[in-house]
Amino acid sequence: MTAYLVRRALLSIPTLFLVVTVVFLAFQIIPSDPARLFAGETAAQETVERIRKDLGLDRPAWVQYTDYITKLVTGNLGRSFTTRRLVVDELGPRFVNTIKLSVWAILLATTVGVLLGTIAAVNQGKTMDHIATIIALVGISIPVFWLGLLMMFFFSVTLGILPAAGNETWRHYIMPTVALSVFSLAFIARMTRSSLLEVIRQDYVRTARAKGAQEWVVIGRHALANALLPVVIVVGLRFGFMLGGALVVEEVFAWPGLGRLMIVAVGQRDIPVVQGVLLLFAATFFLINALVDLAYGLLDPRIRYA
Amino acid sequence: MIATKRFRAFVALTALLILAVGGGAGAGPAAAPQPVSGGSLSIAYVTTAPHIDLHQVNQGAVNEVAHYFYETLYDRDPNGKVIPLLVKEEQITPDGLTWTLKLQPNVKFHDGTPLNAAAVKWNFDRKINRRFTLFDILPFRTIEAVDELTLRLTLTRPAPNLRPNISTKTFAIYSPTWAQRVGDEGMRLNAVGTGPFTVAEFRPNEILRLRKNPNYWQKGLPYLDEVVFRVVNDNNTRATMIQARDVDVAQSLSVQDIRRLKTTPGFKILEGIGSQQAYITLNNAKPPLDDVKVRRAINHAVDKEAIIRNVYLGGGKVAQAVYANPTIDGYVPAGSWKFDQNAARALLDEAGWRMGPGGVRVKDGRPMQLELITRRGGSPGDYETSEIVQGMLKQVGIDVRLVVLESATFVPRVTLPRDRANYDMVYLTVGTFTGDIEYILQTFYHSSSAAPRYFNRAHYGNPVVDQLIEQSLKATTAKSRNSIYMGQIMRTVFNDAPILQLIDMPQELAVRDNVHSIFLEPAGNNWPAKYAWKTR
Repeated sequence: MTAYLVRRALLSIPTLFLVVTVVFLAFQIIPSDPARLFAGETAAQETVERIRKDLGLDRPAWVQYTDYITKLVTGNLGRSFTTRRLVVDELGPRFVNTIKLSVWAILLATTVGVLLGTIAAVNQGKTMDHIATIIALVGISIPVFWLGLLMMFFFSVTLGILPAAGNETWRHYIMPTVALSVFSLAFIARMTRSSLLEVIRQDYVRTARAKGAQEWVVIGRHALANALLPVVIVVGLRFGFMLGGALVVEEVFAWPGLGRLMIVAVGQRDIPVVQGVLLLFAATFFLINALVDLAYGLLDPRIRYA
Repeated sequence: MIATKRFRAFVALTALLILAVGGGAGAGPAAAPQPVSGGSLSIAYVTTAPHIDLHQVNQGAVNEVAHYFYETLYDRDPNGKVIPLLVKEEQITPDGLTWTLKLQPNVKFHDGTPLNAAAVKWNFDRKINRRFTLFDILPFRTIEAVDELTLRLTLTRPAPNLRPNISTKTFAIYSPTWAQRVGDEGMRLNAVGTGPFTVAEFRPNEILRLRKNPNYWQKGLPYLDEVVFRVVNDNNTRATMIQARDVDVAQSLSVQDIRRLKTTPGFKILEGIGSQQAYITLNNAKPPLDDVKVRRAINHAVDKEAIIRNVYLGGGKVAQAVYANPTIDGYVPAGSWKFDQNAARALLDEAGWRMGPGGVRVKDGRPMQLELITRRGGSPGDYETSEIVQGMLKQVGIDVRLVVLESATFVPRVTLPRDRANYDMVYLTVGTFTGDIEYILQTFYHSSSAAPRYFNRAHYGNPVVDQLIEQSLKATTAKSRNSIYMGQIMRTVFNDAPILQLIDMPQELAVRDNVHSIFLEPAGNNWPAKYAWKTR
């Protein structure tokens, strides 16, 4: 297993390298002038040139690139063009905020999603199934920013029971967590339903019933344990995608996470920060995938990694 | 009969007046409540500003937060008038070339060090030596700290606009002791000035928390214990936050949200005309816009009132001068081009552009197709206004194609030297934050102000105007400068129609109705609440 993990880690290196290179090239191709941006629209040319020099943007592109890569290899992500702070310091607290939100959201999505899916599968074709299916359909279709605004208007303005935006107290977590989880929740519910329906028809479930086991034991211990295998993969993947979904939720709820950091950085052509955020996203994605694979192996004894 | 009616009306009116006066007397004390101390004011605003090193930038969102912790030698009152702040007395020699400034005594920076002439000199030196933004509007030959509180400035030329210029927030006075200790890095994320508030917490793009300065040199001020700026970049979220009473003040709301909050109890909308003007630059260096007749035709073809009605829902005013507006010292209204599409058509015919197939004018076999570069949400109403202009120009036979760019791409695309400026029209806004006409003269009107050096993106130049500007800069007082030269300069530029002159933009702020003493500072286009207070 260790060998497997090491191989996965080594495999990730060329991909991360590719990410960095593509981002660098993209910023070379799109027409923009970071120095002019930082100086502001009302800055004289002389001021702009001074800033260009300060940022090292007066050097040829290939020098900037090799310089960046050389530093990157030693673990140095450089400094933000705009705040001039170390990129690592910019990312750290933002990453924690995004992870906190994503973890709560995936927990909510998984518990409610699995519950909803199970209820639907057990009551296949009945009213409960239809209700659950409709909830899942709405959850998948609804635009997150719109749901966010609706909730904000209802809970903050009309009822006045939840703060509209920010991240100070636990009450600030409620709406962004729900908004971020809705798509994944619906996705997990659907997955659980179809997977469970397949398993319920299996012989061993019939055997369990024949032995006289109670229905909740049949569903809970025998059927669900097997039906959840594909769900685990989905949960892992959804968690990865959640980092991306946080982009929208963070903007709507003014949540100080990586998504907002990235939106601002792209708008300001703060290339080191954009590189840092994307690298972190990519690395997290890799890690999650590896963990999902491992979890899969643990849950299903037939799968072994060498 | 008629006399009786009039008499009755008179009686009724008198009765009303008596009632009004009586009622007024009773309501007197309630109308002017006394300020109370304490409380926290929270403000939701938009910014992407990564730091608060004021010397380095001149940006609305940074200026917005600046006056709470940094002060300048001069300030502006709620009417936009320049008033002394850190300066107590001034003496100017008759030739206007030597200024002796006495500073306010007993002023201390937040770190306890005293404000003195040497400290002020250090700040100007940093600005000039580092070539930070706007260093070039300082006409200083020497800056000298004569004694503890006396600063002597000798100038390279008379500068009647020195007061408004250095009242600009970017000429903030930092504590040199602190600044030298923390260096550039430290000055970006913290601030030690003489202002009524100190910086308690600053996380860029997130939050700026300010705490009352208990040792503020103006006794009894400020009233508030705390001011919190929250960065909320989503328009709808800011509107929801103030409606949910999560914040007391919300900036840059959409016109629709402003209209809704106006009629919602518990809120008030502060309105005013700042120095922002919306206009469309016309590339005077590139055919067909190098022809003054075509530029005038474009000005005649666009209904400015329709833009005010449809984009600003009635806010704002039709601009009466090129780039300049009434909040600026030296402004002279030069007029606006009447909305008259027949006049526009006649001018285009005269310029040789005949109506061709598909309702597009043609000259020498070339159709009149122009590109209008604009943004969506770069400033309020930019895209909507561009669309209206496109439609109106179509009506006189000009085919306009809209090119929408995001800000990061937009600025370099439209900031090019004359020989590389390949754009036709660009939607832009301008704000004269010094509140003085010289800024417009030197960075927009004079031919040497052409982009990228300054902001004359029209690449406009007129030798007559250049000469008048150069003469006007020798005037020793703003009064003589304004009365002798400004009328002629403004009218000449207006007649040359270097731009499509549009709207003096409205500035609006949503505030909860328990907040008092917050106002629009017209030149800076910001809303100082440093001396604001809240009823409980």
